[in-house]
Amino acid sequence: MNVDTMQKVTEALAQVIDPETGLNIMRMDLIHNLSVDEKGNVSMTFRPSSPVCPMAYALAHEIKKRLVNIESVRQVIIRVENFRDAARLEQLLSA
Amino acid sequence: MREIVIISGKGGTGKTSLTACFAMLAKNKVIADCDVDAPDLHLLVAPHIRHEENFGGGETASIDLGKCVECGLCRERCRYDAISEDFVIRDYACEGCGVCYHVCPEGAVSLTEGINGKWFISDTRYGPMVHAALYPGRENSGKLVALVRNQAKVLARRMSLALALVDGAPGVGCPVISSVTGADHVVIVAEPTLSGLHDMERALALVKSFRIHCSIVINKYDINTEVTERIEAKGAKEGALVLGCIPYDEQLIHAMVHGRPLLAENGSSPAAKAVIQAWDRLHTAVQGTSGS
Repeated sequence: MNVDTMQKVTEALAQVIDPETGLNIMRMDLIHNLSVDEKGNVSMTFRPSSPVCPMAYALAHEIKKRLVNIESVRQVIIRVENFRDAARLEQLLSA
Repeated sequence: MREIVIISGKGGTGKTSLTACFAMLAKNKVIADCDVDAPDLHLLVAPHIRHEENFGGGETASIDLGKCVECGLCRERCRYDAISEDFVIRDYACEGCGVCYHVCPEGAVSLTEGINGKWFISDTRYGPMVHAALYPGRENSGKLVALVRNQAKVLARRMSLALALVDGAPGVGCPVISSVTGADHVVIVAEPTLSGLHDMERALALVKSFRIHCSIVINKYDINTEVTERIEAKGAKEGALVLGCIPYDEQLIHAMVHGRPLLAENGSSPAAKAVIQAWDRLHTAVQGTSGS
């Protein structure tokens, strides 16, 4: 694991605020299985707070945007669980 | 982890009293009070607060009297009569619409994020609890409900608890919708009065529209057995299991006066026995669902 990049990734994720609660997504426990390898490949599972979460697309987009802007991050892979449109959202995130 | 939400179309049907009893009976659970506009579950479970945080949201105007020239334009345009004659914002009346901010020719008005309430994580006699209180007249109760539910689930995951037991809000409005979306099971507490029947039907329609498993408890069923039969018929028609019929029981009044759940006051009273039976049926019904 790349500790320095992990720190930056965690800080970036803590900047993503869910407008429904006003809390950041780390406090809301929406990110699981977060890992960063030595090459800077980041992977995680994004679990929206509800299968019908109206903010899931916006939050996922915000997560990816913030992470790809970190210099030491090479690739971001986001799996989506507990969401009705999980497959479609994953497809959009991988594009 | 599973999430059970207890709601009532009509207020005052006994939703919180039942939740407190279920909190005694349920094992390995976190309790959440999502009736944030008028929370009262804490009165029965004696919480010891260990985390407290402000709930912000919306905006409130304030006027810098050093810049204000008292032209009166803001007072004239404010639809909520939220600005006094001496140009002070009436905090309870301000909706944060921002009209005063935009019309002020002197730039004397500023908008700041308002504090709408507080939320808490507490230890109670019956396990951890997440609860909140919205300040009088403040808005965004649906958001606060979402926050309380989320933090209850976060707590449950961290403490490896199997159940989130949620006391929802009465009615069918925004806080109720926010209470039930994504839940595993909803219990509607109904009372056999005409308004109780009408509001139970509305709550049932709401829950069915979200395709959530749902059941009914009829409280004080013996004060009007004819309406009780109509509630049972409606439940059968809509596929909502009637978990139990709780009789009117003065032991409940004594329990409320003493600030504890009915089961803590008298676990063998007729109502207490009916509550225990309803919990057993609910427990069985929820075990059959998948959980999240």
